[in-house]
Amino acid sequence: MTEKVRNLSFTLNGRKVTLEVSPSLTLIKVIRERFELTGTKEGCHSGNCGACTVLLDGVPVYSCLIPALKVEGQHVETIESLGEPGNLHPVQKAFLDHGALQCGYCSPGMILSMKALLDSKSEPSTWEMKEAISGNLCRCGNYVQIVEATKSLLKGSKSGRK
Amino acid sequence: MISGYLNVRNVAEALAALANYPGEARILAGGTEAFSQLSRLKQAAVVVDISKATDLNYIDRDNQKIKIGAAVTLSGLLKTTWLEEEFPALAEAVSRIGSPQIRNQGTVVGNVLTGRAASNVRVCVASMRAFLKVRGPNRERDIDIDDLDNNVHKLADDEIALSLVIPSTLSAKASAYCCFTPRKGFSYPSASVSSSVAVDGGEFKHVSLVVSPVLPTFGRSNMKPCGSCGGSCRICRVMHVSELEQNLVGRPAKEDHIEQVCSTFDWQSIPMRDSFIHGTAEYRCHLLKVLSKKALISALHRCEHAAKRKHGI
Repeated sequence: MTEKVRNLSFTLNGRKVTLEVSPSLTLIKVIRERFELTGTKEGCHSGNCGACTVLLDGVPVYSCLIPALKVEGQHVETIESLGEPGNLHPVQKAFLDHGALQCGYCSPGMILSMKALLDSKSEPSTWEMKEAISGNLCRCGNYVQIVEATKSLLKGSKSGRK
Repeated sequence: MISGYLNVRNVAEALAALANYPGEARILAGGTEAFSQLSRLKQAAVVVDISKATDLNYIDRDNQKIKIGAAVTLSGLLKTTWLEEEFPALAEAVSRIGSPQIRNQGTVVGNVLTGRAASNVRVCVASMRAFLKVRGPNRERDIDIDDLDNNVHKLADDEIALSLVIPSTLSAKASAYCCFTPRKGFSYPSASVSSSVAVDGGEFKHVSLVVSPVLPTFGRSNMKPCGSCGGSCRICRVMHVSELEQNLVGRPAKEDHIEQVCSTFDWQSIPMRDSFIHGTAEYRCHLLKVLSKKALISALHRCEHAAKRKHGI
């Protein structure tokens, strides 16, 4: 029995795309191999580490668990949608300023999870920040710095948010 | 292997897909577990994705019941403003499932069907007379949650679960859920407990204490340790701790009474399965003792709080 290839149309980082996809493909495979957007990392392939986190209609999901054909008509944002060299997104800049990354492998997922939180809630509590990254593992142990970086973006902090 | 993928817009299209691909079509809502399971099958499977079915994405609540459509995600249920007040055990149970990413994709009905005895939602609604509303080509029927694993009553290949229906009860407000889970985002609990109480005249009028995952009586002594299922296999069950429930009913509704009953109960008699990942049976029984005390006391406090609110105190 052969797989029935099908057209998939969705919005990727603000751009409408259409491509032929095999029904067994996951979203991460499409992102990394078909669009060569390798900022989204492959980790556990089982929905544990969070390295593959992307935003689907604004909410974080594990792209290793999402069937590619599921996102028909939806909006997918990868880390590449945030900022650009020389003009970083505030969350990316805060991560750098606070030493919130070492090897950087978890960072795309962490940044997107925190971005989604800040988009949905302007003044999250520390607990809510920790809850937001509870699905993201950092092998280098930067959890404290990640939360501190996010706190620095709140209105009441010295640096504030742009 | 997955040989095809259909995104359906409503229940009628889903039923048509089940009819067009008999024996191959498989309903998928969130797919956090189902997709990888289907990918590993040797036989072909055609995925019927109902996540965008407009007539399955609803949460209805009235005086009689709470009705949750099959396409409602776990996060979607947690966003309701009333769940914590009306059914705190369910709010606690759902918030402990996986991680934010899992809850944004996985569905409430999917958790009941895929998780089996390990499902946080199933443990919560056991004994609440909750049921799944199910539709087939020529029929609609209800399947009691407690009968889902029964071969006679289980979901047929040409049927689709439309919604989870939870009859409203006073004891739902006085409920609590506790579990102990290895950290992994995808891990089922090592032990989970749901309790609800009703108090009248200072005494327990009704006590429900449901634990999971336990082995059925038959064949228990020959059961090998569980490798990884955490209770989501076809073997494990949810179970009422009837003896303890009966020990509390008619007795004073007090915290120290709950402590005393929980301390003297023989928790090691509960048939938890040995597991390489989730703990030995002995350890899991110990977890049940700690979690049950916590859940019963929490349910009692909520009962007292609900009574005070009712009387405007």
